[in-house]
Amino acid sequence: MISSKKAKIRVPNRLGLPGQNFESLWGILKDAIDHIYADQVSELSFELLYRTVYTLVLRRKALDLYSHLESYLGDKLDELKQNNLKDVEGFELLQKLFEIWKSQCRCFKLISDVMIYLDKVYCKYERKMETYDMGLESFKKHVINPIKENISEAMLSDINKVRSQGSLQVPHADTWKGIVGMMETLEDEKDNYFSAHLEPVLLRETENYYKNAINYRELLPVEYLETMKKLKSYEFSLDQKFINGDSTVKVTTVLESVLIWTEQFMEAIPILIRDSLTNNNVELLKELCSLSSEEKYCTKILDCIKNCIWEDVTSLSVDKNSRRRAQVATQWTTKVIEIYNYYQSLLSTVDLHIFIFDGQDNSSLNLINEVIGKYLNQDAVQTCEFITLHLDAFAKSTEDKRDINSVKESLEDCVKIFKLISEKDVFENFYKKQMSKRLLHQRSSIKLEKWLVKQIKGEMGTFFTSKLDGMLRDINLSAGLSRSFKPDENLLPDCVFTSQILTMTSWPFQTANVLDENVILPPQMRQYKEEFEVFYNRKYNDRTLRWAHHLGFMEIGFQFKNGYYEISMPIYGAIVFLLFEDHEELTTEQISELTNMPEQELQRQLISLSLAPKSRVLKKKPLSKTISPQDTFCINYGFTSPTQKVKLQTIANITTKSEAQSQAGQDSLEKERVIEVNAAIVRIMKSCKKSIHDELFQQVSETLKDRFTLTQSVFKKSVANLLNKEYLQRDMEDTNIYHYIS
Amino acid sequence: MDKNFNDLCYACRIGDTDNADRLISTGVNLNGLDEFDNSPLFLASLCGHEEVVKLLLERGAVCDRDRFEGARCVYGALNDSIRDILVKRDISKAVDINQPFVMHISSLFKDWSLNTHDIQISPPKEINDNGLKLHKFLLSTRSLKLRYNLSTVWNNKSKLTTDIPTSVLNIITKFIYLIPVLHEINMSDYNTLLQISLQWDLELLSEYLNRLKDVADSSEKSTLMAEYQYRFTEDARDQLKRFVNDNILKCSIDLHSTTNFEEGIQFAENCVAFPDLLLLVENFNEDKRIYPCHLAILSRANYFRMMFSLPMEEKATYQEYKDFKDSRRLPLISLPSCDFEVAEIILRYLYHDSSEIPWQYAIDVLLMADFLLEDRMKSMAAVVMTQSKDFLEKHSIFDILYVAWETKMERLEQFAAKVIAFDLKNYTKETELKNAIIKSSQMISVREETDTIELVDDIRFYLLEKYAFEPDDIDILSEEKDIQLLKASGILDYQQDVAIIDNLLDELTLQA
Repeated sequence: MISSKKAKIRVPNRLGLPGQNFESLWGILKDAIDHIYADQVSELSFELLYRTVYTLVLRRKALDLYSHLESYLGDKLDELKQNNLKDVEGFELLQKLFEIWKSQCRCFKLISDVMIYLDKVYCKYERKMETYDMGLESFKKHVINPIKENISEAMLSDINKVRSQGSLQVPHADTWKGIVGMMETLEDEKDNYFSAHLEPVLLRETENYYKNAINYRELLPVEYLETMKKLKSYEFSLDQKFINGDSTVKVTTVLESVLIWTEQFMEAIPILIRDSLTNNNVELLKELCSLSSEEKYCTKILDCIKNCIWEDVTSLSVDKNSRRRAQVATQWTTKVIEIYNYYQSLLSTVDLHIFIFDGQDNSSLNLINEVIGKYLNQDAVQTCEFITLHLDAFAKSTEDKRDINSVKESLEDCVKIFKLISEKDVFENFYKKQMSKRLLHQRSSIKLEKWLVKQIKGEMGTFFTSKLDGMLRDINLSAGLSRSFKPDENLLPDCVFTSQILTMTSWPFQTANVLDENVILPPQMRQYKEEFEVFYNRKYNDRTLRWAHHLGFMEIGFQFKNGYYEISMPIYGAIVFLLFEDHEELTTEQISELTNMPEQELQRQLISLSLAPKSRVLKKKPLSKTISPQDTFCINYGFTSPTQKVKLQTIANITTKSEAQSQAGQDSLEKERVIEVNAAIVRIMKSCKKSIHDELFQQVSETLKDRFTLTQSVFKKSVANLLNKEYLQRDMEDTNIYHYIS
Repeated sequence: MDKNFNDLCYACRIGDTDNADRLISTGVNLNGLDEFDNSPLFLASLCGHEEVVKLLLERGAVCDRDRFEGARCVYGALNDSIRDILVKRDISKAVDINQPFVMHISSLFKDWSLNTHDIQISPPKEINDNGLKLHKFLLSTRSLKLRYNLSTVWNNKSKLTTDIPTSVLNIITKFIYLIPVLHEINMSDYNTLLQISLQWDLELLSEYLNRLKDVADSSEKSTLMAEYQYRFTEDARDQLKRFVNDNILKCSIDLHSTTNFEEGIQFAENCVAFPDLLLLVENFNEDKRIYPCHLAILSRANYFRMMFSLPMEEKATYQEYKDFKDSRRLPLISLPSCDFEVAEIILRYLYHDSSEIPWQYAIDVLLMADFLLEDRMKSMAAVVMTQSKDFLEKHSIFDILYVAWETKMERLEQFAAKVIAFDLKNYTKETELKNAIIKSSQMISVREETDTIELVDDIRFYLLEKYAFEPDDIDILSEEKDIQLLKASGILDYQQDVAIIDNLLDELTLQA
């Protein structure tokens, strides 16, 4: 029923041009192309051409038309090349090429307008290039490709010519820009023609040019830098005249690497850096930093800076054999702080992008901390000692109520360095010892001590300073107690008694021989002691009070022949001295009997009283350097001193004490560390129940890193300890695994 | 008209954007209501056809949230995206109705690239100034008074001066060029404007101005503007329609062998169309007819625009005519051979968006539109072909299919596939089906890498629709054993149809 109703024939062919075969229709178009090339466009009829194309497409000749067009354009372009570009080179080539390019673009546009029906119906659905793009492609194939080396060469020799003149008046730049623009318009596989072909050559040639352009060897480092800067800015301005931003960046990078990564400049960098750092030359430093943003370069600069700091700190001399250790320490610490502050202020003025790359925080402060920290931790014990000694000196010297605020600043600097020490427990030990002495002997202002402890606390946390706080608290409480203790006035009318009640755990004396209960005190003192015990027990009756005479001291006023002097001395010394209230003369043996003092201690006191050069308050017979049991002692009435107050220096322990002490110090330090490690291990194991040796080590050292660097030996000792005490148990099968036993 | 409106409502329901576009261009009242008081916009919004909603709004459908109808559209919107579109379309902002012919005419006001204007009007003091560059044919179309002037006192003049204040003249001419201008009216110009609009017979404008006096509320004012802007458009459409009929089509010259070409030109000269182009059409009987036309309007079609933009002969000839104003040199361009009716349909479309295409000419119009690179016209012709019941009576479905391939009209391809699928048994009897399948399969190598025959795929798709199946249903039913149920579901018929296709493919030794 439907087949009968084909009332109409299909219409399409009617709209096309009647008659005429492909050849004659193509002839019309070919003629039109000739006209377009001859710039006689106004003689063409769009109506005719459009309908010709339309007819060809309708007759399914689109493919033929397309390929005819392609090959005809090819012929045209070959002819053009042959007539215009043969045997032409240098700038002339570029100029002619650019002219041809401009005229070709116009032609292609007109042709593609005529071919619009082909584009719309055929190319779009067959996924072929539209005629305009096909024209560009042919241009590339027929004109550019065969002479691309010539173009590159012409371009680069022209550019190099301008470079060697160093001029920024570049009349050729527009043509260059045109050529680059042409190449950027042309596609080449995934990229455009410029980045695929000319850009690599440009980069390579730039590299070669600058490698050979200047004899760097003859230049001083600073001159080198100057030249480099000039070349860079010149090349940058030149590039901007003819290539786009991205390519400019690439050229700059190449230039940088050519200029920067030369042997000469690599040698020059440390020198320049040294120069800038030593002379506080911020400008130079900034310049050096801004030369390149490449990571490799930044690292190089940073390394140089680090080296300089390292050189500066390691060149500090320490006279280890000096007797005046405190002075050496102060000098050293001051120097270190000076260097630290110097670099900090210097580097912070440079806006160092070089510090930030690779996501790492390379702030200048971290850099300084890293280097100085490394130096400080080279000999951590000495560092701690020196810093504490320095602090000690400071604390003592501000005794006379000088304005604390002025001191504070330099003390803050100390805290800055203190942060960098990895073995902070060593520091704590030293500090504790010195602080306790200061407190007991009231050699510093409490206010300053409190402030210092607060600074340390701010840096390290409450836990770290708990003992220091305890000491300060004791001193505070003691002062209160002393005030409220009112002994019988008649007992010793001209005597002042001050008590210092120390909590045993807070103070660093536990290990020393605590006290000699057996020492016989002079009667007055004994009475004071008893009265105070009664008073204290009334107040805190469940506390045990023990006396630590060796920590106390006494000030005794005495009328010598040449004047009245107030001599302050340790309690033990005072006990000996007071004997002479009742005796004219005593032998060593007698003194020993009367005081019941251990021999060694007695010897020490006697040497201090009779042999120390500035405080010889007792006379010894015979006048030898040693104390023998038969020596006799009496008051040295002829004692003189430049000041009214005299501090009696107790000599150090007679045995080669310092060595023994430091040995003992080391031992006790390790013991303390083991205890802390134990605690840390138990804390960790409690939560995870089971752990592998290495992992556990990692975790523990992480938790303790603020206090000290964990060593394997300490760790092993601690583990052995815990295994012994059955906190831990080794795994039956894998001895590397520990289990927590709850 | 009523039928068009009902068709529009239906297109809005089913989301047929092309058809809606065509129907709107017939000049139906976009803001009318159907027998259930539904507006087209409400229907499209309710049924969730975003593209149709956009089209309606562009063409001037009003969605005023402060009124019942507008609120109903917003609340009825099927999804958020449509609701947002409606809400964003704030009635209080300047209304830019985008009827395509309106947009084109508005663009002429400022676009001088083709140099199509033929009269300049400027205030006397600025006699050296170029003033406004305008088109005589448009002035005479839009205002009776101006038409009179142009053929009497202003006859053959190409420069005029006027003492109308510049600001008023601007508004008036913009109004003539259908640029939405109501928001720009300054109250200080009101009286002059009213006076000129009366003097120039711009009835609607003066009517609007009179009503504006009584409105103070800004929202009411906006509504009034929207209403009048819409009326302006429809008024202009009618004017252009009359102009095309009276001054172009009726003024066409038949060139019989006996008629002198020169005489014909003379005739064109005297008509009030003010043409700057002559369009020569030759029908299949080799009768020739010349229509006086305007490049300003023909340039709506890409083909003509290119023809006169490129530095070729046509442009030169046109320029020559412009320079010498010699009507014997009027540029003559021709269309490919076609019935005069087809040429006239094209002209009506270009001048006033007329989308009334009798089905008898639909294929020819489609091909001509394809030739003219005028895509919107193509889809309108295609819509007519798919909508008309008579069309299939006269044309083989395969003709439609081949035309669809020729002109790359997907809508027609699918339509053909659907028709074939719904009457598969009859079409199998025709050898042409095999030919079509072979042709379709030959398109594969060039069109798609995938190994399918588009026509077969489309037919299979419409077979599903024919029996109202979802693709999943086939799998489900293939496990069903109950014969009664299978029969009732129609799956058996479906399978028969599918088998027919498979057999055909086997016969052709094609895989798909």
